[in-house]
Amino acid sequence: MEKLKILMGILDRWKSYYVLSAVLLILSTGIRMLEPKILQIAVDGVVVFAQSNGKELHISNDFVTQFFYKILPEMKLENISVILIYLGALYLIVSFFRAGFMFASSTITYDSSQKAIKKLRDKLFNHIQYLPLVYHTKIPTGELIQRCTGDIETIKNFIAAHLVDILRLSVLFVGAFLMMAAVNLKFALVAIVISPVLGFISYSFFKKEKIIWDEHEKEQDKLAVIVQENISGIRVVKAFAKENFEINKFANQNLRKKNIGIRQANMNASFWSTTDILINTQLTIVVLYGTYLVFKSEISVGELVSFFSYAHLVTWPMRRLAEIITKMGMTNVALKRLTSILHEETEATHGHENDGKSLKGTLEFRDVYFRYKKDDENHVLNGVSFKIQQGEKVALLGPTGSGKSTIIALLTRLYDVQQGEILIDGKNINTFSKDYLRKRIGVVLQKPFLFSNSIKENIAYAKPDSLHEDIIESAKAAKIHEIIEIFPNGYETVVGEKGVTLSGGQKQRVTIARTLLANPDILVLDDSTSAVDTETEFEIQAALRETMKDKTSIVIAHRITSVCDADRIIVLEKGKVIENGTHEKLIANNGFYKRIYEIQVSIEEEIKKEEF
Amino acid sequence: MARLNEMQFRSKGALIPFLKKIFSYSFKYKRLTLNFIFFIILVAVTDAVFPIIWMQLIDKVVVPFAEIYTKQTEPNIDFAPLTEFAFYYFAIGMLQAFAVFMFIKFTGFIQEQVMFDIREELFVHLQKLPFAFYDKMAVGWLMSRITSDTDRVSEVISWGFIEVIWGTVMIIVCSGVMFFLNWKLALIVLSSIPVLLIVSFKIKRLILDFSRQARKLNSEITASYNEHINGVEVNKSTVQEKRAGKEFSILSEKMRVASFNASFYTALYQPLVIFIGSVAAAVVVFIGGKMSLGFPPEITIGVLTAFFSYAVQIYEPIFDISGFYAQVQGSISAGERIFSLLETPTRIFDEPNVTDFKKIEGEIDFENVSFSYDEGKPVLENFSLKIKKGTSVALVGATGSGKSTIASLVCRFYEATAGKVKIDGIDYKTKTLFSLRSQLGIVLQTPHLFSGTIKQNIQYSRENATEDEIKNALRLVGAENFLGRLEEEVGECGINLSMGEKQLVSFARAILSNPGIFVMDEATSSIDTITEAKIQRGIEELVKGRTSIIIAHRLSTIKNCDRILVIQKGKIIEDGSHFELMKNKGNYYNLYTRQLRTEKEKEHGLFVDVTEKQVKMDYDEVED
Repeated sequence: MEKLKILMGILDRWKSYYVLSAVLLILSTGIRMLEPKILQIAVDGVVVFAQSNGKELHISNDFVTQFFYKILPEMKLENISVILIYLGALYLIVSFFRAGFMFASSTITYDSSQKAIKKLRDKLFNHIQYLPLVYHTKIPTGELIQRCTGDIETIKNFIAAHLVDILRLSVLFVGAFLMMAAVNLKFALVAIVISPVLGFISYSFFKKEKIIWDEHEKEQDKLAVIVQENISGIRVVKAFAKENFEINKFANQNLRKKNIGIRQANMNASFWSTTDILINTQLTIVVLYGTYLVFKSEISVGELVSFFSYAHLVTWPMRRLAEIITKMGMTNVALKRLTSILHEETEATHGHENDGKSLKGTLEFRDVYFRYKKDDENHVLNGVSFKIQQGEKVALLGPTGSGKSTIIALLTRLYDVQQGEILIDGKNINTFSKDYLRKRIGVVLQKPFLFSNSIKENIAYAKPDSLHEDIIESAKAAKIHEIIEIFPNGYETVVGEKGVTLSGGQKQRVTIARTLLANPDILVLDDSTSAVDTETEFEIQAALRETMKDKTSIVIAHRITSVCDADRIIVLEKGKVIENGTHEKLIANNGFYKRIYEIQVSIEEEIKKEEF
Repeated sequence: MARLNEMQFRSKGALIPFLKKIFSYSFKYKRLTLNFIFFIILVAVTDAVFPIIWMQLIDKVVVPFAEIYTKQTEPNIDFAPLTEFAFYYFAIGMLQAFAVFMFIKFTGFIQEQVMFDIREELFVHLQKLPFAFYDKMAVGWLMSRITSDTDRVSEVISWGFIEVIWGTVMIIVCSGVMFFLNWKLALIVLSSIPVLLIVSFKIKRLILDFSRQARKLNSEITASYNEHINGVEVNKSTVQEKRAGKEFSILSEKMRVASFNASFYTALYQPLVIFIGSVAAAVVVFIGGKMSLGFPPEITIGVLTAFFSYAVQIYEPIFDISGFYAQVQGSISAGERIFSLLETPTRIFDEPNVTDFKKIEGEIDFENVSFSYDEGKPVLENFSLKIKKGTSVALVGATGSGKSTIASLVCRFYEATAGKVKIDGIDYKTKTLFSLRSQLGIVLQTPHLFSGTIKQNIQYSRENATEDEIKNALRLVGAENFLGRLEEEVGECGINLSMGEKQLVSFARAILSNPGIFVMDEATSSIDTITEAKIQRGIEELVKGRTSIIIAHRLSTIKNCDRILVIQKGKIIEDGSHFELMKNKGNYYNLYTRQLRTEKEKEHGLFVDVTEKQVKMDYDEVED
């Protein structure tokens, strides 16, 4: 029931179209029931009637037959030709409407299901974008993508095809049965005597088939793994001249896959032929019994002819119906997985009282604690406190795991503070919206990520409507302009999978340009020049000094040379601020910073020594 | 990436050669194919015969029975024809069930067998293709050749082929029967066939085009999910979630339109062909009805019903034939990809009359060797180098300098375009590949292990190695901690081991066969410092008294080599021992001091996050 509600939710405002399409489908199937009737009348009302010289006219007493006879001209021998024309025309009209309704019904179904699916896709995409970063670090990308593509496809098949088929086949069965029952109930019952058995056998077969299918998939996957391992390790294979060994390994699994495939085919062969036997038995019974009824003059020749058509309609579709029903389980699983994503709470990003025009840029951490998971033993931040004044250039220094990157993540509310508070411009960070903070605080991430678009689009990512001059300007500040100019397509050069591959340092510089273009009030560089050579790094810093004049900036770095000219250096260790001051002050302090400094000096000396 | 001329078969007239090629796979199994064709014909014939039995039954049994009633004649009941026809009906039903059983069996078999054959052929061919081929090919691309493309092609010649045979036989048999019964009505029914054919092929074509479009868009959608899930942090930091969503929405709208168009024509198709069939059926009712009215009637009631059912069902075979057409069109590109892969020349192979290398001593000679990956961009030109037996040589240089090429040429992973590579004074092209490579110990940049145990992975280089030998090899490379873990499963591609552990195993694997020449191509670039320090000991052991070619970005790894060659643009620009080159104060000196700085920082345990990758990036940028 809950699943139904979810499905209804997916169908959304197209529900009524769905109902309309169902009505049309029922109409079309209902009209189809009329076709055998016309043949029946052609036989009883025309052929037999004429051959008996107008003496014999059998009119079934069901509603449909009565109705047809009412439309037709009076049953007289001299009218026969007209009656035939009428019948031909009636048949055409009937099948025209049958085909027309069928077309209308499927078009509406396809249209509304595609629209509903598009909406679901968009919803899912947006939802994922707004899920907190914590969620993304928890779920592997591949799995998430599989759900967004494969599971949606399953649901689409269900609402666009399976649901319709179930309805159509059921209506077909019920309709044909009723048509027979209206004329002769006994015959109708005999005609479906094997159907339940057929349905049951089919259902259990498709259940079993699914198991074999899964096994088959497993063998297929194993084969794929062998190929995958082989191709990605082909250099090793060749290096050790093991081609034949690999071929044997592959051949074994290939054979196993073939065998299970054949087993599956054999199973199918048995199923389809046994059920064919059942169906043909049923139809033979129908023929025998029907002829017997004609003999007993309970039904006419025409009625038998039409019954035979109906008998087909109650037998053949059973297998398909059973097959679809067994497939519904898959939809169930897909639905469950998708709703579990959609039920995850997104982060609220917009709208807070303190969202102003721009930030002045004072910052304060007051005894901030943070850990990524509740059950983590150690806090990443262990009571961090520091202040940064407007316009200050501050460097954060410390070994891996000291909490530098976490501080940055908290600053843009990618995660929320668990204890203590962060103040920006003297106000608690939570009184600003996430959107606002992220717009005003420009962070250059540690791992440079570019989209597979042009370099220009990448730089203008945060401000797509930027002027070309502005883009060039920030590229110059990030010292990447000259390199971009070297590419034949310049700023239009596409990067990533479909385009050129940039080196790590080049990527970092593009991301710096991207952040600069957004013109933030506070700039944060999270180890963003690690892959850039020292000279360029120095040039970038000089350029930043110019562009970030009067603005607050925070730099995370690990080399004394990159931090020593900052206004202030904050040294972190194990989630705590252990030193805080200018280069000179910290050297005088004789603490951790001094130690790093000394090590780096000693390294320089060692290098000198190597020079002999 | 080279796309292997995928478009080639798209042109018209490509259909026949394509079909010829794929059917050559099933015709290899003549008896099976004949069997399966025979049984599907049997199914089609029985399908066509059912209406005739039904017709006979009506005329011979039902109508007389009815007349008994209408004409009030004396009941002279003869049940014999009824039982006879019921028997025929049932018997044909059983025959058909049997034929169905057989054809599914045979078709399934052919499908699996052909899939098996193509896959094996592909795989064997892949083993022969040279490195140059793999340099340009993505693993995923090759994977789908062996998996999905093979699947599609084998489906065409099994289940797809069946539909054509069934459809064709149905049309022929039905036409024959109809002409036999009444040629005028036959013509009426058959006149719908051309119309059906034209409509079918036109619509199928449209469906095919739109589905292709939809499939393409679908992969774009997947790519978009991929990109924006991986880049979600960027989207959040730049507050671009909304825009990303909007852009995605444009894409998914395109996808919706394409899928709708495809399904629109699908929705149109069936009602349309049914209606065309109905027109024929209506004409049959009218003309056939009239024919049955005369005295004596031109046709019987039975014939009338038979024609009626033929008229109504004639679209089915056309449906199937056009379905096959669509399937073939849809899999032409799959087939083309398979065949072009199979036709990719192997390039490096044993010439006739080659002999085996005896025990390789380890002298290497490059005599005026030229080589290029892409024509017109030579990596090496007239390159000569002589390495004496037992010397360890390190190659240093930026990416693209040619140092890896030199190592690869030694292994004959590529072949020189001009000049000769000699091992122990003999041009290695006159010797077998197997005897060369089985005497080389090669450790590659990314350590690749295969599913199986650690022991099996080490044994990879020498299957009959004893456990003691394996343990010795492990000790030799300083991997004592593996001694008790030999039976441990490493998982798919060695996933259960860390990068460093994997590399240790691959070192042991390389040394197990006691190679005459040892080649190490950037083998330490993907591991951390601590493991490297461990491996360093192993490397020194391996190199002792053995000809070795070592490429490493970390210069500390190669400091102790007998000879260090600095390669730039395919030329040796510095050649000498570490001390000699340091004195020289050239390129090597600059690189070494730069690296030492970073290394020392790491050594002091302060900044562990400087990965080797970054060192490498630095390296390349300085060189550029």
